[in-house]
Amino acid sequence: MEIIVRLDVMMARRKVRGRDLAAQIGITEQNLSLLKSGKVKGIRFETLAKICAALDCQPADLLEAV
Amino acid sequence: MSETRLPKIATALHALSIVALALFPALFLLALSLPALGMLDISDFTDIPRDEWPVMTWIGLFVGLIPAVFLWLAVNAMRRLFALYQKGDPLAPQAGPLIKSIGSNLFISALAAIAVVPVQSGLMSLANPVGERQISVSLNSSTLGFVLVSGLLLLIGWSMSEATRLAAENKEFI
Repeated sequence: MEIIVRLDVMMARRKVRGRDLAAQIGITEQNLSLLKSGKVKGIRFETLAKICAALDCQPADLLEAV
Repeated sequence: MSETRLPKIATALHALSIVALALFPALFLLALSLPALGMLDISDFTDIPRDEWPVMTWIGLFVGLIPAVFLWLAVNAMRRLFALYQKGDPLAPQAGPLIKSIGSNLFISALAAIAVVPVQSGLMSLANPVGERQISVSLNSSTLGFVLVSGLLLLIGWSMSEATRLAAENKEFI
């Protein structure tokens, strides 16, 4: 089983730009890009909570097990 | 230590390590090629003149070089570590494995220094008449201190390598 990051989908739904979201949650655009492409080993609960707060969604809206 | 002093000290130590690396084999070759210097004194083991040394004496001589070989490898790792510190980055990922390499080579050298004495003395005195052959065992406080310090260096290098690995892994978490 694999975990897929659906952050780009949620950002498109909320019409949020990468630069704005990165600034809001306090990470670099480069790291946000890595997160969107799933090229990271993991995501901290703290970062996940900030993204959920910024996009007004649940962790399950951002991550999907396939 | 301030960060500006680190490269300066590392530069001096780097130069010193290169000199040491060159001196080890140079001194041995000098001792071999110029017997008059008396650098290869084995009178503790045998009185046979150098021209008449049997093969076992020569083997004993080279067995005695085993700790020096590991010491040379440790100095070479030091040279690479100092070159790294010259750049002013003491926490570079390569530093931990290099310290571990220095520690392990020094540790092996220290243990070998203890282990080769009986072998070397046995080989070198093998050509002596019966009753004059010997096997020596030598252990003193400086050798024990060397074993402890090299062991400590090995553990520090090990933990630094582990810390570097964890730091690299942590970087992959966002």
